[in-house]
Amino acid sequence: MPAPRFFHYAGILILFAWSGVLLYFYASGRVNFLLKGNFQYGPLFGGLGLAVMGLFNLFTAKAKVDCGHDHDHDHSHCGHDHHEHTHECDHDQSENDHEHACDHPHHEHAHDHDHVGHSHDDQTIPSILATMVIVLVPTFAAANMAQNKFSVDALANKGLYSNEVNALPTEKASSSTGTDSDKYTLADLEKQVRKSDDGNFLIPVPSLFYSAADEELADVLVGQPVETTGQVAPEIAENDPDGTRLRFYRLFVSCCLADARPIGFSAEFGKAPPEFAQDSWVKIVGEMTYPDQDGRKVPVLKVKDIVAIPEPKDMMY
Amino acid sequence: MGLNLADISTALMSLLLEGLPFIFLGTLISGFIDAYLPPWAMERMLPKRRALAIFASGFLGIIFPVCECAIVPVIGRLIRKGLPVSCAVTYMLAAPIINPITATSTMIGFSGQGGDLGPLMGIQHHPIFVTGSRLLIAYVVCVIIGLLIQKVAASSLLKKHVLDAMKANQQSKDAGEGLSIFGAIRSSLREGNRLILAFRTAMRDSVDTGMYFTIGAALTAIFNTSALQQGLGDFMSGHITIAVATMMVLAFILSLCSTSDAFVAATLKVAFPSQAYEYAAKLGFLVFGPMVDVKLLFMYASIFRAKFVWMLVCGLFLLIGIICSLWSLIPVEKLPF
Repeated sequence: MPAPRFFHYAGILILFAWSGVLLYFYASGRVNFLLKGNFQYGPLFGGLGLAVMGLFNLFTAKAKVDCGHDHDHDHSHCGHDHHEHTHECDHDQSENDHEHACDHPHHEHAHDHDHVGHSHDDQTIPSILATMVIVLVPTFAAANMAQNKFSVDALANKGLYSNEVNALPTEKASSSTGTDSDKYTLADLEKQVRKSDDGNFLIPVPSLFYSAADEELADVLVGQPVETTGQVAPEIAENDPDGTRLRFYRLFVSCCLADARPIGFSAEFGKAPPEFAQDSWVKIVGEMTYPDQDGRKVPVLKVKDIVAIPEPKDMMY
Repeated sequence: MGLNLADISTALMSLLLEGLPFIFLGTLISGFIDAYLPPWAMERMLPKRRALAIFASGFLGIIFPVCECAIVPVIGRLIRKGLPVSCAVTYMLAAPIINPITATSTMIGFSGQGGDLGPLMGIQHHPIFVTGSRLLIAYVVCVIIGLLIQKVAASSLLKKHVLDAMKANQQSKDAGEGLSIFGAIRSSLREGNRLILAFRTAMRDSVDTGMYFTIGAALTAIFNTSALQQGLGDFMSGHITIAVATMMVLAFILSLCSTSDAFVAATLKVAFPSQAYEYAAKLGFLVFGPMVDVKLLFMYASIFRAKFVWMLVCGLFLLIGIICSLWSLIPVEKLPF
């Protein structure tokens, strides 16, 4: 098979492969684990679009195509102007030799006719095969081996066990101007945050985590019952000298799981923590504390009650 | 905590799921540009004076908002169609940042998150300052790069096949004399087989761009799941230039989409000594990231010579690093917005 033709069909194959992978992940629902919110529609539209593009190119593979440009340019190397022979390329893509009014093969043209039947940047069958390997092997390998979540090691590399909260010790989330009358109070918290039927403040994990950066807010939160949901992982010894803690976190995702950053803190049980499968979803009721660690306040949630809950629909924060 | 194939595959798959639809969109646009846009159109649309054209190219993203993954094939095609390389690079670097979508997401990202729980995030940001600074710095950087590139021969910048196509199209520009752009497009639309050409070009560009994207995404996935990210925070409390440089390296590794990277930057809490310092470092992240990241490095290589790509990356790193470091001198706390 001539290289241009091979390139054309190889391109179609790659489009179908991508389309299949995108549509599989969308249809199987696995896209919910790997992409956030509106990005989840991308594989559907992209997959369908790539399929249409592939089918269109397949059905028109033998069509004769006008170059798409005027051929008014002077082929100086030809020794003639293409104006003089009103040529329409009319390449039959099945033909390797471009039957042309000028009796030279198009491969000798300096310009890049980007369609089947033209030079294709001197593509050879081995180079096309290499392209296919580079594109298809990682795609299918990733599709085959991808999980719906990261391992604890990967999460640790992404900062699961980091307690680095306090960027600006003097900054106040509560917008205090420093006077007592502007000081953040329990009344402010009650105005801003909903409560559960049991009277617990419903606060997401990232908000509890960042509360350590705000002295006034932290002061108000201490001793207040909070209720929150997230995932659990084993705590590392550095954060858990007595073996009484679990790591409690949520994944903050911007668009896809690759950019996920776990935001979390220790959940303190005061005794050996209950056993949960890694990444289990739990609801915790407890109280926030902010002990010093290496001269910095870190958030720790003292657990009063913990129950396993089903995986929520929107797993990414 | 070494490399784990399942984690790398998971990260790679999520990047492919996110990026391929945008590459499809970009290459579709590129195919239609190839088939329907006359070669002389780009030059007519921009001001005749090259410097003015470069200044105008920095704003093209407002009219044609394209993210960084989709813009590479579009730019490749526009260069072939005769858009001067200096204008093309200016547009390519500016469009992912200077567009309504990114501006809005930056505003929202730095306004605090979590709806009614926003105040509990412990973050006090100046969204107008950050958004305005991001757009301004990006614009200045892109125009400077464009003006510098203007002095360089296209043959030193472009890959041979792009250069050849550009030269071929340049010679046919005179054919457009007396025709309006819309007239030429209308006449192209009557030619049925142009659609076939559009889809063939789109497919070819998909394969080309997709190959470089796959390589870049695979490397990004490795970086993203490895321990390389750990410890970066330690550098950020040092000198401002080191903090800015570290944030730019982080943006390079994370390879985030410009439409949503502000949400990551806004919540990235490390021990910055002051708010001005924090903003300067985060602006380095927000300006450098959409212009250069792991996958973009490979995608640029589909159009530009490797030497130029490296020079562009180094130039952007230095220029953005210097500007953002100087930005830390602005007394943010005293600003009314």
